[in-house]
Amino acid sequence: MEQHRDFQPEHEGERYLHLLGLGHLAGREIPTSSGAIQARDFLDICGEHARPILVGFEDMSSEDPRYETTKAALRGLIGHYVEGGTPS
Amino acid sequence: MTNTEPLVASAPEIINVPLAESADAEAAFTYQRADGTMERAVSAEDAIARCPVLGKLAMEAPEQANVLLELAATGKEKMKAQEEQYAPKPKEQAEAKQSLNPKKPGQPVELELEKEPSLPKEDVVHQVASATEIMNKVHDVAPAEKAERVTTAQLPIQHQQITKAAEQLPQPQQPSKQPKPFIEERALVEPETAILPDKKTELIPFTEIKPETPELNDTSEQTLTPVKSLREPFEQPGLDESPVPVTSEPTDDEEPTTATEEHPNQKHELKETLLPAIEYKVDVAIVPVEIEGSTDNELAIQFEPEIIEVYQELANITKAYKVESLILDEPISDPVLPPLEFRAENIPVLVEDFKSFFDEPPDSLETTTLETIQEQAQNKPLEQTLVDFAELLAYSEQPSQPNELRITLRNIATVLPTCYIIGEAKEPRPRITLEMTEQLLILLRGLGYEHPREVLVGFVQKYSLSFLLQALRYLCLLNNLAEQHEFFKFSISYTTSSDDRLILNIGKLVFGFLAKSTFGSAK
Repeated sequence: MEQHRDFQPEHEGERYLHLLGLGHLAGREIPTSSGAIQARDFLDICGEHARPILVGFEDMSSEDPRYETTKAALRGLIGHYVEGGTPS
Repeated sequence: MTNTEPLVASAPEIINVPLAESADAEAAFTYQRADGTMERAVSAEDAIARCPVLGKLAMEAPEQANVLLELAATGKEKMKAQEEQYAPKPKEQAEAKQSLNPKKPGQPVELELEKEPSLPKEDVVHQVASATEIMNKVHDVAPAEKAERVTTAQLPIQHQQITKAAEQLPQPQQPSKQPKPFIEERALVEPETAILPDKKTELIPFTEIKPETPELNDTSEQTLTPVKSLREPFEQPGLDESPVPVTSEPTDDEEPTTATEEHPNQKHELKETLLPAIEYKVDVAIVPVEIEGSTDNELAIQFEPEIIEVYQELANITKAYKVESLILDEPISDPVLPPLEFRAENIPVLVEDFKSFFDEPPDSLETTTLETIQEQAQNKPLEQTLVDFAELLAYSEQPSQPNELRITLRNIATVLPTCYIIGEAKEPRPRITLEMTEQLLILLRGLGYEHPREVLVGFVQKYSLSFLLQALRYLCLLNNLAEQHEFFKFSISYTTSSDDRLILNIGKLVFGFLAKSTFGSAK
């Protein structure tokens, strides 16, 4: 789990995907009404609301008792937007 | 400096802001409706649920909402600190630019400052002082150097001569051709590019331009042709609004034409830049309609108008059915994770009837291709096309790369749970959502329909929304079995059957049975 924090991709969306253990989905293509985008660009879809939480979660200590439940919830939320795409 | 914030962030009147600004639990959990009224959420959980994005979040406990709000508040503070760290405030930039702007633009020293407009404030002041010192030294020369003084005094004159000569040159992009340059030029160029294109024009922030400045009022109409025609709407009423004649010079002809004919909207854009609150022009009209269900007007920004209109039509059709009603209740509070997992109690009653078709002898099956389906779609009703598509999913070999239709089915499988609402009767009822409408239009286009909107609306009118959702569920099932998705699980036992033929038979019988008997009587 902690290794996700050690790996810091430069791409913001990819960084959050790795933080949530969804780094393997980074290159997946997600079809949208305006054209396919990569999963790492999921912030273009939901970033306005998700970005503040992800920024806050990035600073959350893994020893926080709420860390795992929060991570699971965010993982489900972000996964909702990025899963189902075409593997790169 | 022009506003470069993203579109969504600059439209606060339509953004749903459910998150509290501070981590304090007693802070107002407010969100803003489309009409601007602020609504107070009952709780943090309510605030989260009302967010069009976070509403899909699966929270195991209500306390988790507080955690998320706390994280959001922390994140916002961090983002704000980062923005302030890496982006200087416009006010500071304005002050730096002001120092670069001499009050008398005709002085030669101005030409030197043009070369380095981005210097820090202290360097700019130093440069100004240096130029001043140079001028003082020039004027304080000994009588023996009187010739030089004269030459120096002639510099402004020479500058004007050069300026006039520059006016006659065909240089439409040359901003320094005006004797009273950059305020008007800046107003001229800004509407075309919406940036600060010229170093000289960067000297004064555009928002600080005053229409009543003497330099502007004293200039001739001819030289101010493009600017004045644009500035008229911003001046006080009563000013001369007579049309400014377009000069015959080639350089001036291009700019007025560009300003007034090719870009008729520049007036409005220029006006916007003068105002402190710059609002983006929204290309997608924000439909002032009440979107029911969990969608909000913010989603109206994310969806094209056509999708919203189709959604409205489907919602109205669904309302007309006696057995179905558009649900305004809360969606299922625990959206499934992984993305598609139907619990037995959430499945409509009709699904159980499909089990009776287990022992039905299969019909003769014909193989088909996607191209055939797309070619014949225009001449076939949608239910038949869906049956053909189901055959394709059941019998075609899995391609190395899933095509667009399979991707669309995955997306449909993702949003399907949100199309079922548990009402007061604790029975799941169908509803249409914007996301599902969008995916349906994509699916129908992929199947070969040139007018998916009409086809979709007609289908729902004929067979109801429930039937459509049932059909989609089976298509997703077939797609899943074809792709052997590991996280695609059904709790229904018969769905795990590996008999593709049986599954196909079920699919065909679903469409035939539902179309002929059950939903036909439900209307």
